[in-house]
Formats: sequence, structure tokens, C-alpha cells
Amino acid sequence: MPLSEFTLLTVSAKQYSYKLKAYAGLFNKLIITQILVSLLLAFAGFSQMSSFGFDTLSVSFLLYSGDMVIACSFIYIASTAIFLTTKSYKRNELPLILNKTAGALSDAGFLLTIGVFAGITSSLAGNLLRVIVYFTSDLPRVFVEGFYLSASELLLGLVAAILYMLLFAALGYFIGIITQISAAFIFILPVTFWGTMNYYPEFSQALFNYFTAETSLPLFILKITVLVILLFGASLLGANRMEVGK
Amino acid sequence: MMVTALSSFLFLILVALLLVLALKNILPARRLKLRIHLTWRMSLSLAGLYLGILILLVPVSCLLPRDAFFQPDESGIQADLLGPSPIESLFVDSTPLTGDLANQPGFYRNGFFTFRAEGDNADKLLLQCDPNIYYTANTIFLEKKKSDDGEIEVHSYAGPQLINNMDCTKQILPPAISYKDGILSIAPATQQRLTFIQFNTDFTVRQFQARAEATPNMNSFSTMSGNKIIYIRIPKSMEIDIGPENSDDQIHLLHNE
Repeated sequence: MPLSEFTLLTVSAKQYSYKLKAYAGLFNKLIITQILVSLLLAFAGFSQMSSFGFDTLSVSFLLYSGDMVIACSFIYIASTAIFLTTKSYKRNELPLILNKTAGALSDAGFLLTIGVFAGITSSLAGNLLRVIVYFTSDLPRVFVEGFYLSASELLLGLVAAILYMLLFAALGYFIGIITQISAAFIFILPVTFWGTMNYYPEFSQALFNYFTAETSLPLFILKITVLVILLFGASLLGANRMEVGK
Repeated sequence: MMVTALSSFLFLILVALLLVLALKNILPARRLKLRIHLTWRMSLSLAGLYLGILILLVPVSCLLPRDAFFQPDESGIQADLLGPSPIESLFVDSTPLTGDLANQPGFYRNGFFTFRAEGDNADKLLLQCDPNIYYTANTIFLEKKKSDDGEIEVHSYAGPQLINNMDCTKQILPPAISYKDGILSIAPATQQRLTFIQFNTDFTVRQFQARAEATPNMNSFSTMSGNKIIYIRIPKSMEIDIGPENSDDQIHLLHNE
């Protein structure tokens, strides 16, 4: 194939296809993580346990939700994104790299794929938890309220979880890229984060609420999409500053 | 407060991730010897299978029968609790309990004991009540039967015990009651612990729901505890001694005429 036929998009697409095959094992690890967390939640119980009592009777409530599965998937996606920028991963793809932009674009494509997969599966894992609890718990002690999810809740959860996954993927990739540019960021980032939280709590709270307190889905989609594009864009620029193979 | 806790959690994640990243860059790469080798086809097929199973679980979880679950019945039981209590007429009239108290709205019979009055003290009854029995909202009613059948009957009833809209009345254990040599001992039931499971929607859904639909605040749960009755029926000719530790205010004698 003549060299002139290699456009940035075709190269990125080929690298994306290669990475999807090469890093297919990352999907398995995500699945194992989600199943383990679901089983742990179903059998060990979780979270806000409140007790009430009158005389000889005390009543406790165990609250179940798929929150932990989603949170663990966030961590997994962010760490995957960071690892994609490390030297050991970059060495594997060295023979295929024509330029850093194509490499970063294919990384972004792979992260979007695994992010969408993680968003869908972590959201649906709540049903896995429900089915496990249904067959393993004393049903007269399980509230019917909250057990059944409506189609709209399911769809809303899917969309929001996918968007959050993409955000964490973009954030992780950005952190990975800038720490590859300079190792000093390994110390600068947590210090900045900690400093902002402690010395500018209103600002960090406002920043946090900007996404998590958004109750309008279209606005939430817009905010996350813009931020994801910005983070991947910044990562792309950062990747171009690095040498091939770094 | 929640934001601070979550920010701290995110900070911890960030530090952990960066620590792993730093270690991965500093330390030489060590591969785990024990590995299961899967081809990319197998890995992606597994991912597809997992996704398929999760999608299949959506209709499965919707089709699970509802009957077996705990379904609070708010309206009826609260009306019973708020309505006139049959116990009030007992205090006012001191008349015997007419009919079965368990059939009265708002009362549930959780225990029934019978003892044969035998031995030297068969014609006397000494009540020995653990002081805690009164702290646990129990009221004792004592009534002489019309006949001398030689049997002591003890009925235990529980009024509505509510936590928010949840009725725990039928979960209340009866007091521990025993009879030996003319002494009827009454002690509170052993401590019970009930654990209920409540499912919440994920935070990714709660974010877009109205505040009222969001996670219930467990600290705002209210409790309502109804009276409990210990109703003792003894043979007609049996002498009653309520014991030095009990007073007439605590043990109500009903006139069976």
C-alpha cells in the first residue's frame, strides 16, 4: 500500500483495531472486578446500616445499590487509562506507531470502547445484585420498594454511567500523559488536589457539584462531552510533545 | 459533608493511582507466572457473553414475583394504632376481656401458655415479675375464671410496633413465662435483632431524580410502639399474691362477674 494512502484516520483505525485485540484481556479484568464486587455486596452486605429499637426489638436496614460496582469500575477505567500511557504499554505498540497523534487517537478510541462497555455493564450489574439477593436472602425481609427498576431508570442509569466512565477514562489518560511528560506531576497533582480541597473548599465543592448536582440530562451530557473532548484534546497535545516510544 | 467525604475518597483514589503509576515506572516489570492465556477472540467473546447475561437479567429481575417481598401496609395499621384502643376500656371499667383480644384491631397474639396448678401450692399464685417487664411497655391483667379447672392461662398480646410505615408487630417475641410451685415468673423477651434489606437506585439515577425520590434518610425514621398486654387467667378459687415488688398500678385485676 502506498504511503500516501495512510491518512491519520486510517492509521488510527488500524491501531485501534490492534489495541482492541492486544488489550482484550482488560475487558476480562473489568468483568472479574464487577463480578467480585457484586458477590461481595450480595453476600457481605453493604453500606448505611441504621438501627432502630424499642425495648426488646432492634431493627436494622441494609441498603443495597450498584454504587460500589460503578465506583470500582471508575477506578478500573481510570487506572486502565493511566496504564495505557506507561512505558511498558507504549513499548508494545512501538512497531505500529507512525506518529504520536495516531497513537493517542487510537488510545482514546480504545478507552471510549471500554468506557462504554464498563458503563453499560456496571449499570446492569445492579440487576445481577438484585437477582443474587432474591435467591439468597430471606425475602420477607426485603423491601419491594426499590427492588424493581423502571425502564426509564435503567436507561438513565446507563447513559449517566457511560458518561461518567468516559470522564474518568479521559481524566486518567490526561493524568497519565502529563506524568509521562514530567514525573514531577506525580507529586504536583495530589498536592494541588489536596490543597484545593483544603484551602479552597467552596471552589472544589462547586466544581464537584457542577457535574454531580446537575439534574438536567441534556446539560449533563453537554458538560461531560465538552470536558471529555477538552481532556482528550489536551492529552493529544501533550502526547505530541513526547518522543515516539516514550 | 457528603462532598467532603467524596472528595476525600477521590483524593485517595488519585493518590493510589499515582502511587501505582510511580511504582510501575520505578520498579522493573515483573510478570505473574500463573496466567491464563486467552486469545483476543476468547476475551471479547467472554465480554459479549457477560454483557448478554446482564441484558438477560433485566427482564428476569422484572419478572421475579413480588408476593414474597416485604410490602408495608401503611394505611390500615396506622389507623389501628391511632384509633381507640381496647386496652383503655380495661383500665376504666376493669371488666374482663370480652372475646379474643387478638381479633381486636391493632392487637396481635404472639404467645399463649398454659400451666397446670399442681403440688402443695396449687391453690395459691405468687407473681414474680422482672422489673424490666414494665419498662418494655407491658401491662399485666389478671382475671379469675368462672370455673376451677386447675389451669393457669397466660396470653401475650402486642400492639402495633411501627418503624415509619413498616409493621414489626408480628416479629415481637412474647415474654418469657414459667410456672413452678405456685410461682408464675414473667420476664421480658430476649433481645431480637431484625435486619431488613432495602434496594436503592444507583447514584447515577438518583442524581436526576427529584429530591423527594432520592435515598430515604434513615436518621429521619420515626418509631411508634403500641402497648403490650400480658393477660393471665387463673382458676376461680386460686389465691393471688402479686408479690412485694409489684403494685396494683402495675397489675390490674379484672372482675369477672
